[in-house]
Amino acid sequence: MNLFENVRLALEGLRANKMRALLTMLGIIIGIASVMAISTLGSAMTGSVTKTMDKIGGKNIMVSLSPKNYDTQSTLQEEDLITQDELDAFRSTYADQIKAISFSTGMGSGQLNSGFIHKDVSITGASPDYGLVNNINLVQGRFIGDRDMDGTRNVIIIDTTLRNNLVGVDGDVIGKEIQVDTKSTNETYTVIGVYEKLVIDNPLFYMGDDTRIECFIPITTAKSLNPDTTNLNGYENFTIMATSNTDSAAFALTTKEYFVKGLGALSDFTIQAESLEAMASEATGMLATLSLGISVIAGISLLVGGIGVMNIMLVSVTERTKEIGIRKALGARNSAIRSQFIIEAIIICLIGGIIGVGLGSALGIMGSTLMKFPTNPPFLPMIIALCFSMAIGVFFGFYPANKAAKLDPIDALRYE
Amino acid sequence: MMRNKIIEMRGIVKSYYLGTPNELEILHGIDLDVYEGEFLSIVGASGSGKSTLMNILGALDRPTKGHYYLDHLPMENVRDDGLSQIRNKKIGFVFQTFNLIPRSTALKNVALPMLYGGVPRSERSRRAAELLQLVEMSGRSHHRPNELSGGQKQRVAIARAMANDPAIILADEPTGALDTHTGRLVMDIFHRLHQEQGKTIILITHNAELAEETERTIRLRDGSIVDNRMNGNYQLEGCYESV
Ligand SMILES: Nc1ncnc2c1ncn2[C@@H]1O[C@H](COP(=O)(O)OP(=O)(O)OP(=O)(O)O)[C@@H](O)[C@H]1O
Ligand SMILES: [Mg+2]
Repeated sequence: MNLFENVRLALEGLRANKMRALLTMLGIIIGIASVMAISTLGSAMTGSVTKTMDKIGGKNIMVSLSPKNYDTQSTLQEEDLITQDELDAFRSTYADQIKAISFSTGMGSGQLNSGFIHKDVSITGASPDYGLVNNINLVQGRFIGDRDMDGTRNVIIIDTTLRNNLVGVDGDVIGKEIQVDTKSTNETYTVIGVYEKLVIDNPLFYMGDDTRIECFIPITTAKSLNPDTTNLNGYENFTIMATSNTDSAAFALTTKEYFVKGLGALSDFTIQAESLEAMASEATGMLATLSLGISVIAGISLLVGGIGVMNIMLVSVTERTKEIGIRKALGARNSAIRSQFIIEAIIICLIGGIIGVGLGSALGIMGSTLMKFPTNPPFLPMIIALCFSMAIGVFFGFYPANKAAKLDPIDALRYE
Repeated sequence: MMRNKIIEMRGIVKSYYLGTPNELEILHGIDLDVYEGEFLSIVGASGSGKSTLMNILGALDRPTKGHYYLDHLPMENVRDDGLSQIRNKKIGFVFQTFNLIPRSTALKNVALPMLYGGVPRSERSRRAAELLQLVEMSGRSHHRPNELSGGQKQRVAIARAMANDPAIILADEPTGALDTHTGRLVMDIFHRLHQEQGKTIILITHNAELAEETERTIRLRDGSIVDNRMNGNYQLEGCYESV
């Protein structure tokens, strides 16, 4: 039998009963729409997490010494610290997985004074690779170099807000001397670079408005200024930037094991190594659970929708008993009648599916726009949703269609 | 010259409620021969079994007992799909209540048997238009049945019965729902199909005058043939022994 003819017939039938068709489709529409919306939101979320991870360094592994037991007061001993030699050995062992290692130490907050301008800032001592590892976006000048480190120079990198305060947007601040007072120091620094602060416009990563102004000085300078750390030779924490094809979560474990061995069993401290990627995948894992929940609801809705389609098809078969009899008298085989009704059920479900995909996509686009990561609905779930709705049509249309096909031609013809 | 015996029925019995205490035999052993190109009428009181016989003749129903050869083919050996095909290709039905598909236009209704017969789309439309012309309904080909009068509907139904150029046209009280004048128009179409195209036509009617117009009339009473005679001047050489 002619497929085209059946489709036309089904559409004519639906047009004659628009309201009924729409109500029948409702379950399918809701089911498909929720699947579509959640998969669009899901891909928006994954996309935005990935994008933000790239911004803040998705391949970073933060390594630090932490007390085994927080209840007892434990103080760091020099032998606990990770030495430069250990680090060099580690680096050469895993050369193909490590892109860079950076160090930093917080100096706390202080006040910047330049002429009549006074600003609260926080000072971080950083190593040259810090810029790369933490995606520091330099807009003027340069970042800390090896010679600044070796010479424990008083050089500083400030952010654009501070630059604008000091010399205006167009002013040249490089080479300018500024004074910073912290709790224990008052030093004068030469500005060597200006960076633009990273703006994370991802609501998923929202951590409150950070209005702090952070300035960077060489870590060697920082250590020399901080009497607590001057006598200790080694590192308490550092950040590893893994290469892009490294599984950073797995590498974090490797790193932890490597340095725990170096610590010795008697130490009060242990190593923590956390990859940002692993933390982010925890977040996406939560999303997966959420989508699973919504999929279950969608599944129930599709099941109910399918039963609705079956019900309306049974009504339609009864209403058209006489028509079926006429068709049989004119020579329609049982299979022709069966396919006519199955195709009608498929068409109902497919139209419901198309409306659902449209509605769900619209919701998904709206939601992802609210998430500040406008995303097009993913193509594959769209196709799957449409195929699935057709499958519902076949499944729930079969019984009524078969009932129609098996009608006795004379009984059907005589039906009033 | 012997004419082709297109229908041969021997001992056809039809019973309802088989195997129950109130088993009901409607046809009691019908013997009937119809030759190709005949115009036959079946008359009889209401409930005498005319439609029941017609349904068996049209391969819509199977007899409870007896043998039916349609164009020499023993029907008891034909399965359901085969019956569908026979209805599609060899039989054209015309019903008292027209039985057009309400949602389809006249043209689509006429084309429907060709659709089930696997005729290509363009050929279907072409032939359907031609058949509507034959019954003088060209002007209404895009109208739906509820926009047509009874006589017009029946003309469309006759055109539909002709769609696959069947050997036999079975008409069950085709003029029953029409006034005398429109009934006359419909009857004239049957005469034309009979004379110009040589169709075998079997007509059930309650109207004695219309039955007189056909070549031969069979009378049913309580499920048996009680009369089988040639009408007026019609004579068929050597076809029939005495009844
Ligand atoms: N499906 C059925 N079950 C039981 N009895 C039936 C069935 N179909 C027909 N009959 C009976 O068979 C008998 C003959 O019916 P049929 O329709 O053949 O009569 P008819 O000669 O065509 O009458 P009319 O002129 O009124 O159309 C009737 O008594 C009817 O009640
Ligand atoms: Mg009857």
